[in-house]
Amino acid sequence: MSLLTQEVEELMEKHFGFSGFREGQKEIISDVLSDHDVLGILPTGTGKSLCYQLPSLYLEGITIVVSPLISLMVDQVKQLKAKGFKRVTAINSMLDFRQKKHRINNLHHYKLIYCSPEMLQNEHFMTQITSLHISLFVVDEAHCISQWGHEFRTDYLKLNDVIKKLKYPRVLALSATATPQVQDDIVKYLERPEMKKRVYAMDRENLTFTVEHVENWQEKMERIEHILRMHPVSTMIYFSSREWCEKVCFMLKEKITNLKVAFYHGGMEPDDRLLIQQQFMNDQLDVICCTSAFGMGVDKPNVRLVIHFHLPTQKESYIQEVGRAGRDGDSSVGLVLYSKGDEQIPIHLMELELPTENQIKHVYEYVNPLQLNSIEEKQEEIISQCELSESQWKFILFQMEKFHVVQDGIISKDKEKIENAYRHTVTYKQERFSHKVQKFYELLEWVHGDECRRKTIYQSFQKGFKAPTENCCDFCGFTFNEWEPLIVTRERKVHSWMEELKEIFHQEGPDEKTI
Amino acid sequence: MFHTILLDSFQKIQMERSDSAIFHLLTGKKSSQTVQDANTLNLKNYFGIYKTLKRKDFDKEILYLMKLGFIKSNPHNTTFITNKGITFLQHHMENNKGLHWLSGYHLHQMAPVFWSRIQLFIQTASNVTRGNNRFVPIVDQELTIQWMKQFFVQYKGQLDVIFNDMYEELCNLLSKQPSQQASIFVSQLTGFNKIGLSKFQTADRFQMTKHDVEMYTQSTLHFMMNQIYEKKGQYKRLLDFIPNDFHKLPLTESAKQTLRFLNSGIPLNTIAKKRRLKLNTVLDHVIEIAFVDPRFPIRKYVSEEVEQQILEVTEKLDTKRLKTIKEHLPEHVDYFAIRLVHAIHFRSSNPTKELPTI
Ligand SMILES: Nc1ncnc2c1ncn2[C@@H]1O[C@H](COP(=O)(O)OP(=O)(O)O)[C@@H](O)[C@H]1O
Ligand SMILES: [Zn+2]
Repeated sequence: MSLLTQEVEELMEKHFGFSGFREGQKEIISDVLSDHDVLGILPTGTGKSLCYQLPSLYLEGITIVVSPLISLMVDQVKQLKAKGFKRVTAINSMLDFRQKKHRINNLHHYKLIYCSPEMLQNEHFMTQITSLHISLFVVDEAHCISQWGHEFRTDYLKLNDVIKKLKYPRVLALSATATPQVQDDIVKYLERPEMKKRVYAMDRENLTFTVEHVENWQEKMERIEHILRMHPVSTMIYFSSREWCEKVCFMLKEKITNLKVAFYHGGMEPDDRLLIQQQFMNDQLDVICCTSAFGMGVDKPNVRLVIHFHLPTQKESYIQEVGRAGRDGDSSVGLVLYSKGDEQIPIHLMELELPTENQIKHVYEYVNPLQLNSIEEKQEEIISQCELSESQWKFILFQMEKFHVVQDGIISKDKEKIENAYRHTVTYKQERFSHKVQKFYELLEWVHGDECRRKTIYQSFQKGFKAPTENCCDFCGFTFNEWEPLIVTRERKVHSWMEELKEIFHQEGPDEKTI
Repeated sequence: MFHTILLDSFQKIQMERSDSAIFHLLTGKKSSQTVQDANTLNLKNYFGIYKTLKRKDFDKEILYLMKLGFIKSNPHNTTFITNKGITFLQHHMENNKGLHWLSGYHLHQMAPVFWSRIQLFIQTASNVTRGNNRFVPIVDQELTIQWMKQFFVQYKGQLDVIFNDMYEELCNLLSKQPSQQASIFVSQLTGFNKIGLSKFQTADRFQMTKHDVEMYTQSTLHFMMNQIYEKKGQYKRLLDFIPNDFHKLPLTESAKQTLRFLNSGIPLNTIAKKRRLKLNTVLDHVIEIAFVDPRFPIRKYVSEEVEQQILEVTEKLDTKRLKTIKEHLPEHVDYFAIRLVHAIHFRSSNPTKELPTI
């Protein structure tokens, strides 16, 4: 062990309380500390964040982390603060004007700054950070850079520019899932050709995969009920819509009274979301019905079962979601429930993410007569007139910028340019859509496959996989009847408020009076 | 509970305004019309008690009440309460203690701050006293977090004592409530190894709507704050959790000015001179402040003995007429003292004891 790693290891133990590195962490961290640009592919839950949190303590100067999801950012900051890190903050569009201004003007107080990619387009913010010493620039969820990655985000394509403006700090790009094609894209678009690749296998040897084909949703309910009665384990059930998530939660509560069930989705108030998440972490809840909004940043060691009531839109998402099970290394199962016709929902969702051809046409027609106007002034009008979602608008706007219809925020007068951009936008949208559909069909193929699930889920991402420590999959002989998961039991009595209050305030002793 | 509040509002408003007026009232919209409504229509207690209410949810509840036949709308786009609604209302007004504890007009700004401070402090103290410094705070308002840091610095080393006192005080206050209302409050608290229930879950547990949970919670908070003010000696710890931010008090601009002077320790006479006001006007301001400021330092103006005398006489004569009361008190007790004591004691916690008009 070199002197450096020893010192770093001590730092880790002191600040994070971990006794050793997990696979990949040591390599990535020492690369970063010896001034390399690194692309790190580490499976979900293995601890990507340590790869920059630890160096940020060690390096002089500031570490910037670009993260695509505000909730994820906020979670991370909360967790770090809970661990006693003071000099960490998140800057994003959700902050109100005063908070944002305050934080931006005080950036030099922080060691670790999380921000959204949009913030890096904010002039005031950029002026501030370019005047500081940035020693490490982290691109979290780096697959967002590639249009072949799931969750493509156009703002990510401007990061090369940001890196230039920051005078080339070390760059660390991190992702949980990336095919070779996506890895190449990341290196290419960040314009860091010397990037060292550290790719670690994403298969998890303690996970068992199983897919069940049923007739309809009622049968899905019956299966879930049956399995949960047999194995009352910590469980997550994924749905593709908020309505379903609530509906099934409600039904499960009625049916299985000995388990605590709750739902979680993006439509809830932030306060309630936090409470539900914490209850689940604390084993006060057994089953959580959720949409994909849940899970990012949720790191519960003993989730034993992840059920998909609906299909996700691609293998990458599935691997990520099922990966929330069994982080403690004990036997855990991923169950996909499929009934005929289920493919409608994901396809519909994919359609909603992209603008329709009509919408594209509409936007360009709208832009045409608006000569010499700044796009920002017109933005809201266009969005409401063309009934665009945010992701749809971003998609079109990015194309308009790419083909110079919008330059420095000003709309071009050049009719030919506009015409050309319009054609490209339509073609590109079709390309994106068929790419998404293709990705979805890969997942669907897996669902309908007749080979070992483990082999077929991982094969497009890596060569081979570790031998499973538990039952492999339904094809290799897994059944729920023989499964013997670890079960946490928690005593759950309904207390009077007096007893409950006593517990919170640690007032032991016998009841003096009962109410 | 929420339905009762809506019906009560409809009854008091008596077809004079549209539904929106009630929505603005509950969410505490600061338009002069809303404030005036609250005052003239005797709806002060509901002012601002449900700031997070969404228009969509409000409309849904209104529709539901219509479906039940408790209210009807007439062609002028206003809504009135039916006989069926009145029967329901009367029954619930009589049987729901919590309704009468609401004093929105005075407390709507402070109650949420008080609540988030209590929640955060309890979570923190409950964890820290069990040696756990790593937990995710369930309150993330920056201001509350700042406040708590200061609080901890101020009372360094006394955490155990404070935590115990607080238990006693809370237990005492909650025991004065119907047990369901107390349970609704406690089930939302977070401590070591126990995360509180969300509003939705609480509603589920007690078989009510999340709006009811919100109303019961506010009622408990208002009840507590009023009790804490009135019996300052008994609730020393909790008093610290009540924000003393006088900007948030519902005062006229001129009274606020006076309060600023008072807070910097300037005597009444001097204030009058400096502000070129009559002394009587400044005294009126003080009354106005005493009426709404829970931390009003009554001892500066009235001794405990005199306060007791005034209260006794008021009770004995069963009147609020100042002149009559003054006649039954020793010479040296002036009108100002009587008005002050009345302002403090008949503040708002009990709607039947309204402040006398002077
Ligand atoms: N070396 C380690 N030893 C033990 N636990 C670790 C280690 N590194 C990370 N962890 C824990 O693993 C969990 C997952 O880390 P996180 O960075 O959120 O994963 P990812 O971003 O890769 O999904 C966290 O709770 C973290 O504290
Ligand atoms: Zn297999």
